[in-house]
Amino acid sequence: MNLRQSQSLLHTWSGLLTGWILFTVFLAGSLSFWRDEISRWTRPELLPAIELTSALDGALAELNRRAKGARSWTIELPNDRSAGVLIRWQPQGEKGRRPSRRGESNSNAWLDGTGRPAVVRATEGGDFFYRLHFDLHYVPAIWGRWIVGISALLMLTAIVSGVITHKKIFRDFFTFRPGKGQRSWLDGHNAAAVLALPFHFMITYTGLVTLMTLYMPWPAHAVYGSREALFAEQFPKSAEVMRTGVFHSLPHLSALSSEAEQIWGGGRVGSIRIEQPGDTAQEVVMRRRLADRIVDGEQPVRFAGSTGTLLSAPPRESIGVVMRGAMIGLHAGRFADGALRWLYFLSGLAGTGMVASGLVLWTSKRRERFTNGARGSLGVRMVERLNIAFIGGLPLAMTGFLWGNRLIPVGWDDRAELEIAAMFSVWSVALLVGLTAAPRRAWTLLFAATAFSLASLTLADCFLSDVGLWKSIERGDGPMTGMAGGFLVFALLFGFLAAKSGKSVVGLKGGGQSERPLPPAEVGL
Amino acid sequence: MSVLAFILALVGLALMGLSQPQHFRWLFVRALPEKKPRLRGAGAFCLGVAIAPVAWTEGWAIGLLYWLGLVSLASGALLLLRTFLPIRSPR
Repeated sequence: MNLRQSQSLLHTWSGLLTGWILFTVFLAGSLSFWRDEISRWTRPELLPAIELTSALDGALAELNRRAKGARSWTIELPNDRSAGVLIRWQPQGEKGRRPSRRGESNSNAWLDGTGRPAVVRATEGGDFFYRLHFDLHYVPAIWGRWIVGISALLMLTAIVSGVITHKKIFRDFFTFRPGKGQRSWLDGHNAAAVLALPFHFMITYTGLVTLMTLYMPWPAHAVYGSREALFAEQFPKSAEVMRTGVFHSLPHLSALSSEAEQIWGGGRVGSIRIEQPGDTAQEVVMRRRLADRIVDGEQPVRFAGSTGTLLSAPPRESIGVVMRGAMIGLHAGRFADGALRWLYFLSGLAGTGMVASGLVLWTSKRRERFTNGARGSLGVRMVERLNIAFIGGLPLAMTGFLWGNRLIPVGWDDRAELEIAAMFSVWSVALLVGLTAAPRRAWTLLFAATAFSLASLTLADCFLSDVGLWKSIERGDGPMTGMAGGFLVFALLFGFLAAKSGKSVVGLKGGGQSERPLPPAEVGL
Repeated sequence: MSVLAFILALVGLALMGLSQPQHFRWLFVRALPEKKPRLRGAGAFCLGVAIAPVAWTEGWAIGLLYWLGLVSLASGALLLLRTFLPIRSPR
């Protein structure tokens, strides 16, 4: 076995064993580039009108009404892409727990962009897809991160071994031969992989770096003694503020915001935390928006709330902290404006397509050995069914989440969890279809159902919410028009896929004649 | 500026593609099957210059990201053109 053959073997198996996890991670990660927009769509009660001063005043008044005497208050301000102000509070004696962002609950509430209380449906919104792409769901988060991390490591292996395996990387650069069965799948896989290769490498590598202290804790243990000690030294926390019991009026947040923005040199405030509000000991912590720069870091600025005196400016970041922040920033793409965000999204979809086409290629290669009605080995059939359940089922399941958001009554308990349950229920049905129906029928059915679901959702949303297509166009609301338009574009895409898969079994020959069988080293063993 | 960078990347990649005989003969059916080093050089130049507009407006770090993304987008667009443009292939 020569180098190319051994790399081909490595490429095939590292890709196959993790392919379904990677498909989920890539698809959910690609959607996460529109996390704020999806969150806005899932909370149609919030409109994007923002008046920062009145929003701050309204937030303080509402917190004072709801959580007087609390240990801390937090105000999360809207950015250019989101709507509404989220206020959170921690009662005295409660420490360290971060309340989730599920709309109204005992410890958080939404206000509109002008600071008036708003009744908002409880939902995870875009945060769900963001969490799904590295925590998975229904498994402990730490397990999910390990599973995703090992998959990402094998993805990196597959990328490097794939480049070595691909003999004619420049010659085949603009080559796609449709309708030629296995050859077409290989061309599609190569095109999706090679055309966005820098992105695939960057997103996989930086994804691993994001959780590097989890996967590789030993350097931190060797130098600092523990991971906790590393974070305590590089990201120091201030001592807890103790309540004196002496009343003091609330601080003027607008003036403190301006001062913090001057310290950051042009950065904008993303969130404000007041510790022991209404007490003479109160302190205000301003954190900057993550979208302001590539390097991920909130650079907290702390003020004495009673006097407005600066207590601490952000410490000078070490080169290691900057590098880590830059890697996380590159991965998350929060700094990306509209055009760059689209490039991130399209490259993410190319990665999703690369994984999907690689999985189908594996079965396509083996299916051609089982002609004349033979069913193929158990392994091939299992991979084929799982391909249907994931590649055909996951997009449909995601539309189930969106439908759940629109159909589950606003007042129901645990509706955020019910939306997620709706998604996994649809996915379970897709798995059943994949396991029981004939492959051609299953592919067509799932793609057609996704197309129908997206198209009907766009239509129904014109009547179900204020962020439907027509109302968004009338309001000049670009992001929500884009969401509705995106649903229609993807409905067309899935309709096209349904039509194509109806004519030829995905994974078998296409409409045309297959060329000579591909050598094992070229397609994977 | 990103549109200009995209066009430059598209032209650069197209020229580099045409420097290869199999793509050149797709357009010029009767051409001899030989490589075109000048086209490859011109293409590489355009591709490199495409970073200038986005680096000018966005700075080098974000400009480089833009450039990489636009090159991917341009190569995808050329792939679709090469595949579906109704020009008779010599093969």
